[in-house]
Amino acid sequence: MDVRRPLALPLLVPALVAALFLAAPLVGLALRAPWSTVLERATSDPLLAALRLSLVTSTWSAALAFVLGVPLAAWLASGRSPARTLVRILVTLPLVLPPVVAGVALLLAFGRAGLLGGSIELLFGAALPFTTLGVVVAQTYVALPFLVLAAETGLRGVDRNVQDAARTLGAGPWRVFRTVTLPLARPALGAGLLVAWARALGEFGATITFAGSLEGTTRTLPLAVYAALEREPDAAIALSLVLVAVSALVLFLLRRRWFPGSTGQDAAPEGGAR
Amino acid sequence: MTPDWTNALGLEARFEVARGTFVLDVAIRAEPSETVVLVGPNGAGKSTVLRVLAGLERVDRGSVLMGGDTLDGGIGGLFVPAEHRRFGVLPQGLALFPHLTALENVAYGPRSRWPGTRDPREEALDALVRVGLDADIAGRKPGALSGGQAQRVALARALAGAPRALLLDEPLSAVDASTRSALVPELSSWLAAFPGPRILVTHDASDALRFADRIVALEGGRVVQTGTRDELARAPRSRYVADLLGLNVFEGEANGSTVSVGSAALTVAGEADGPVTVTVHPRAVALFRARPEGSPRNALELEVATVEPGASRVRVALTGALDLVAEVTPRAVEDLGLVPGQHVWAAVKATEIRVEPL
Repeated sequence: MDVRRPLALPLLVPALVAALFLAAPLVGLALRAPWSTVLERATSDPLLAALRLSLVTSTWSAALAFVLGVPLAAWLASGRSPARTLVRILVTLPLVLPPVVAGVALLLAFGRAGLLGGSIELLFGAALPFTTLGVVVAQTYVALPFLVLAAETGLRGVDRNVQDAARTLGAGPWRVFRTVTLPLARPALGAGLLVAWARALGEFGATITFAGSLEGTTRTLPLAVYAALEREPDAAIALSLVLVAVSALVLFLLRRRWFPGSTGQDAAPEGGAR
Repeated sequence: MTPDWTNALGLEARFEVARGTFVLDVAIRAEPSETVVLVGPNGAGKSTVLRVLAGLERVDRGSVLMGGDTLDGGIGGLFVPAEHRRFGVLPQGLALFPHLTALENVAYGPRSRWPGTRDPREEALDALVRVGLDADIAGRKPGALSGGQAQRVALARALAGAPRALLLDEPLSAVDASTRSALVPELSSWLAAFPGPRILVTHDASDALRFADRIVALEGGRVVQTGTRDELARAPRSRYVADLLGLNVFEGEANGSTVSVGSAALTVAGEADGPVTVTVHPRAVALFRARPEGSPRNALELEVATVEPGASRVRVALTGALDLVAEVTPRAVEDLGLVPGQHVWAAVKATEIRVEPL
């Protein structure tokens, strides 16, 4: 089904400018890349440490966001009430907050002198700031909204009649959620998980404010790029290329869900009788 | 499957539910081995009644009882939620699980009701075969089933797991006409084989008449009439019920023993004055080639509009001074040589005309 319609000229020019604007930084990156030494630099010890730290912490953050976010999304999706509206605003806030502000807020809440800092130190025997766990906390804080909003949309989209049918067949709320709601919302939850992970991977402001930039402990890939920029611009470029590659891979995995027009085939959901 | 159907119990509900300005005020009862058909126009509240019986919605006032035990006692009262009622529900639109195979759809009920006690797949396969499906569709997901197959899977799912009552919402709405005519007699026999109470919702008159031991007619959230088909036909309490049963209903002006309906004047047995509704059973209309002589007090020359053969009788729609439907034998159609456009005399005895003040 290849339907082509001519684009009006007043649209064509700005569209071209936009595409070029988005492409220019990538082209710059590619042209300036020290290709002969990229592999060498990309496998240098500090870089590998940053990459490993980034992958580990962003995976933990995404997992944490999933475990905490899906239940919250389920509650948000379960009805309408002023309380839900309030919580939804709370969930959306980190999306619009500058990450540095989020980092400051996290320090005031979970930092050594923060609201819950004392209890956390008692519980874990250490404070969160300037630890790898602190990185995970900062990343989870910024990634959670993406997951909750995507999951809520997905969970709301599950046919209520099908969930009711499960109840009449003897399934309690937990069994209905596990065996019907969750599997039917799987595409949306998967997409939410991936976006949350990508957001955690790219996190900078909240992490550097809350967890600092200690090599091997809290210096994730974006922090390493920033640190390398002045002393070793070539290393910064190599690191950037790694991040671009990882992000592009994530988008490629998400293409069916986000860009249904681009692959020429429909994002075919599992057939349902409605 | 070894259903514990030995102690079939009756289902009884009398309740009020308010949804905004819409108030549902209903009394409905189904005995064991009885099929009660809940019929009514769109928006009458039929599906809500079924959801209340299924335990998916709570009543505001009144109660829902099964075999005398309270399932829903209204606000502040006892409430047994849907998952603990063990009713076989066929929801509107089927609501099959799209991510599970036909077999797993049917096995879902037994799995939920008796977790870990037995493998329900054999029971599910039996149920699929029992509703006339081939075992080889068991592995298909609903998206790969035809309308008729999906309908049967939904029914098998409702029947599996020893339900105490059956609640079917528009059970034939998702299939095309030819599948439907094949399913109707089968559904009839499945219903008859189920020993508990059966409640079926439909807006289709032929379904209502076909399956019902008793009909409950719902309009605007209220039960307008309950009874057997004959009881309803004898004295329909609303135009909807009369139309449902295929009766002739007119509004007219009575003046003593004469009622004027449009340009026609009917002689009736009783006396009345003012606006009335007039009901004539189609079987009370006799057709003649020439003006009949003798006892019929009402004879009208009308034109044949349509001739529609039914199971044993032929419905003849007449038009003219009065739009009247007559039900006659196929023999009479042949004898009179009835074809559309032809003129005939229609006769109705005064005693066969029911007059009710508006």
